[in-house]
Amino acid sequence: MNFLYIIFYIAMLIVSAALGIYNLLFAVYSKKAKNELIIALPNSLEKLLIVNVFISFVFVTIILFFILKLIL
Amino acid sequence: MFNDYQIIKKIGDSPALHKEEKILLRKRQHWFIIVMPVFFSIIIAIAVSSFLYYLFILKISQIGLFISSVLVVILIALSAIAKIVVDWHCHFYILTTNRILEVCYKPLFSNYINNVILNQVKSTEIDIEKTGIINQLLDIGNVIITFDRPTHQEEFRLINIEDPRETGFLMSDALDIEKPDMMDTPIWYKSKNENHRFRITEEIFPGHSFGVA
Repeated sequence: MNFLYIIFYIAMLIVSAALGIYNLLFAVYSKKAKNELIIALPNSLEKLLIVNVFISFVFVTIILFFILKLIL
Repeated sequence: MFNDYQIIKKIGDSPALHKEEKILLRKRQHWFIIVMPVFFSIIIAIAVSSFLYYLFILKISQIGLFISSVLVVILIALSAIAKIVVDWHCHFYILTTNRILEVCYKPLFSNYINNVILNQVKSTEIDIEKTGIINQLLDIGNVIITFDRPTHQEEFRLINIEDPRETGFLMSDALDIEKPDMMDTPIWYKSKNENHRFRITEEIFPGHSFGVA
């Protein structure tokens, strides 16, 4: 049963990491609009994207903690 | 509407913006357009979290599994909401004295700019439409501009903008002012005698004057 749990945790970890990378790229490309287009994102929206990236990697750490707890 | 600090570049820096080109209108879609998708994202996240609570807490009593899966659900919902808001913010319309511009930038996904040069086309029709109860209450609608020659879309649509009537009237004013020759009397009403330009009524009804001179 533990083996199934670990597989589930790893799946969640992969999804979280993928979303973290996606959020990072999304924030970078949103910032890029400032250089390429005629409009810049407001500060609040930029902060939201950065917070999103931060949360993604915090969640990855938390899931990693659960996996380690189960293994050790 | 945009604030001035948000404009960081002149429209169309290549080729250079004409000195006399002025921005007449800057609009984006009404904020209500993003309310429903954001609301549904939150509702779906709550529903999925409730199901996970039932599955992992009530059925198999695994708090770790529940927390990790709920974190992923929260992350997906946050990412979706951020995308909806940024996509809405980066989709806007600009009318200047020389062009109509639609910019639709979806970071990481697509980049679309529709630039119609007004001195290359003439607008033949400007339609204003407002349908639905919510649209009537919040004053949301579409302005559709048809051109006399095909651009790549033939029609320029400003969709779900706030106060479409005023925008439509402003557009028709702006587009007509740029082409005053089109507002002159059509040639088939002109008379050779400049004192009686509309002599046609006198010819149809001789002896009767309708006060048109």
